[in-house]
Amino acid sequence: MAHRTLNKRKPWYKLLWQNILKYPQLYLMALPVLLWYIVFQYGPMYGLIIAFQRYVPSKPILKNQFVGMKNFMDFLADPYFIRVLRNTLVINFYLLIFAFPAAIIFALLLNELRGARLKKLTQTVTYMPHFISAMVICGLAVDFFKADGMLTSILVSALGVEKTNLLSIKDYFRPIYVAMQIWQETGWDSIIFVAALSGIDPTLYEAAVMDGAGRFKRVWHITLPSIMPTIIILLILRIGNMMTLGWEKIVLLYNQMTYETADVISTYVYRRGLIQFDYSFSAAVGFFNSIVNFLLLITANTLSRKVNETSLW
Amino acid sequence: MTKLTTRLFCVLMALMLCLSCTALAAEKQTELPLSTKGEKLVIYCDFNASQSSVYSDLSEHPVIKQMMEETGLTIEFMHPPVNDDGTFFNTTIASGEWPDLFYTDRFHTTYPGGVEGAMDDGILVNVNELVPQYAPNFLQMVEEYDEGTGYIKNGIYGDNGAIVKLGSMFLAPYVNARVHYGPVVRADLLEKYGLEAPVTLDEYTNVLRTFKENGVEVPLALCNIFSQSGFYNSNFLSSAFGVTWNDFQLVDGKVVYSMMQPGYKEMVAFLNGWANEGLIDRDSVNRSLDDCLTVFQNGKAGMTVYHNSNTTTALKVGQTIDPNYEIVGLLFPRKAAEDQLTLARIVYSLNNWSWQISQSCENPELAVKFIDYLHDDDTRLLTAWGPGSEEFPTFVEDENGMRTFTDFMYENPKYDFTTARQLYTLNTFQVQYDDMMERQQYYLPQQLANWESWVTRNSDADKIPSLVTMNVDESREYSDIMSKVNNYVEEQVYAFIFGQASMDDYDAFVKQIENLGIARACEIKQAAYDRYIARSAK
Repeated sequence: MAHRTLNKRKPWYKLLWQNILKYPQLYLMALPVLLWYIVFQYGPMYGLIIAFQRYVPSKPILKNQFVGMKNFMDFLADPYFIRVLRNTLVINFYLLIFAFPAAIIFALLLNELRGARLKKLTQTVTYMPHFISAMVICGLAVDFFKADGMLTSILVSALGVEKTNLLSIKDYFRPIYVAMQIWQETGWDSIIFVAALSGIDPTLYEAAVMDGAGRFKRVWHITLPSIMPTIIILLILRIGNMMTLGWEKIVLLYNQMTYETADVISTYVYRRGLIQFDYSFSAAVGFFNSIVNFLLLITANTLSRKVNETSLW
Repeated sequence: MTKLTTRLFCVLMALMLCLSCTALAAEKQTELPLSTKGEKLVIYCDFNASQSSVYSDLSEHPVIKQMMEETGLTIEFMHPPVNDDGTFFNTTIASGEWPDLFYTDRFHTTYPGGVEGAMDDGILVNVNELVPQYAPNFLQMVEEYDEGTGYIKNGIYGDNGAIVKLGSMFLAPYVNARVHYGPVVRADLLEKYGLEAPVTLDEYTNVLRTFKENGVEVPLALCNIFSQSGFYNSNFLSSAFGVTWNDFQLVDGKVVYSMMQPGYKEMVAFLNGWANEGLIDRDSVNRSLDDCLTVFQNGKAGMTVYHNSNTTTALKVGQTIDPNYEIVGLLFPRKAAEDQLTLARIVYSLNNWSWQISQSCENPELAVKFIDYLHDDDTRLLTAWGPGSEEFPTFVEDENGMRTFTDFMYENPKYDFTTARQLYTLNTFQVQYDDMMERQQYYLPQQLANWESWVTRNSDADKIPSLVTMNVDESREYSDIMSKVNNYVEEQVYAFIFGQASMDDYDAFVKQIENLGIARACEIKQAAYDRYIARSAK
């Protein structure tokens, strides 16, 4: 009670100042990070103005013609708006329900491995694909999925799909993309879970063994609840990126025959921007995406706080 | 047989040499040095990956060093990063700190309103008054190449009469005005199955069908129609129906959009037939021209479209796999054998690259002089063949003046030939390809025959020249419409060809293109074209 009355009397900047005087080293250490955010993250935000302009690169930013919400309306009224929005959300949703749990399951499996060397080896091998560039991965994929490609042949004999170029069939694009993403990123994404797993108190397991819990029960009752906060936080962050999907890989994999299921917001903007150097349009779309992402993030966070008390803030 | 061809070929070579000798124009000379005061020029130009791995910038390049010595100038450089997507150029323009000279295609391709737009914006200098006095070599070259056709002059001068292409790229006479991309077929396969080289569409169908029936894996290796410019600009197949793949064209002198033409529907229906029969390669949508070449040269494909310079490699690779491997160039397909096609891509001199002088340049006269110096015969040879000095023995010259690269280039211990060419010769500063060098690149009888076939009854009469320019507002409106149209049509055309959309919906497709505003885009293109045609009349 006494503290509260104290807080009311003194304004926040005075409190801050007192705090700085009290812990100068801590603030000094935080300063570079703070500066980094101001200079490189918040500073460039004034550039968002070009989303409301008809921006020509040869003129200084402030001297460009102001067009209000035109770029936003252009995007929302675009005949392909619904399609690219749907594809972005659907592909992200697939990644959320297939790729996200894959990393957790993989981390759990790793955790159950006995030999330390085998564990290290498995980890290293599974990280590898993450470091291969998108160009290479997609180049391989395009070759492997050709009518006489390696993966096509395997799928033809295993699942009896038609022997043709699989990347030219729109129904196959999303499964192929998601599978590639899982293959490339599962190992890398599992790192953070592996780290969380190593923080679990071993005495819990010992106690569980004493109580006669099997392996599966131990995972279910001890391991999973212990890493749940990590899972939730990553899930919230993931949901905060639902509108974002990198264009690099998709541009390398899709073609005119699969636009229907493969064209996402970023690739569409890339195609439009490439033709007409329309920076304002891309800035407007980026701005729009950020707002939606931000709203999703807040919603997910609030829900999570209400349901299970874990949240970002 | 081979002896005969060799002999024939020698005779042909000799004939052409004589012809070229008679065609040789007056020599171009520049008085050197250009300056005795050691003035400085800052040049904006590309710097490729192999150069940047050895030099810190082009001023360390032996050709540039020799240029500085000859001209008495100090040359400094401003290089965009390798594979710049235009960001560096745009920020350079925005910064207001410009080099004295630009060598780039960006003013022509992306700057709103083109070079004349940049002159109006106070970025570039109008050199019209300086050129007659300081650039005689350049003017002489323009006259030589134009020959009164207006084709070159229409490109050199912009819509408002300013010189927009000072020091653009001129092709060597040997490769000028040729069709460089065209269809080729395996001659040995034709012989094996008792087929004639096809000319009409029906004959093409028959050949491909026979290939397929006899187990040729890919009867026709076809690349992605809309992404490979070498392919779509040649209008292989589509020109048989009197349309382009995806462009504007002329019909009776009027600008129209090809997909709105009845011929386009006919073509799509025809290709749908091929697709149903399996004559079109299913991988085509994922293929690049390089891919096509690979399957063609390793013997999997029977027919493809490629650039004539690929003939050498294709034969070399093909014959190591199958000693009978032989290539023959085909006539572009057409409905009736005697039909005249009008949508070929004939490559003439002048591309989108050229030298521009910026408003920051303190001595524009000197800059013009320097550009003109690049047109000098000796400079041209220097850029094409390298210094040929003791330190850099890039070439040897025989008693007839024929040059060939030495082992310093071919067998350099440190660099392969392609890299060596980047390091010791300098095509960035080359304003004309060298005839002698081109002759050494295209000498096989198959290559000469390809050129012959591809141009047979094939012209570019109905093609819109690539150098038409739109003004700032026009180009905005035009690209607004066309980005939507292109997005829509590419996908639909593929759907029609491969049967995912029914041909019954074709009329709705045309209607939709109309709704996207194609009529307005045609109007804009027509206006730009009219201005272009009127240029030489000025």
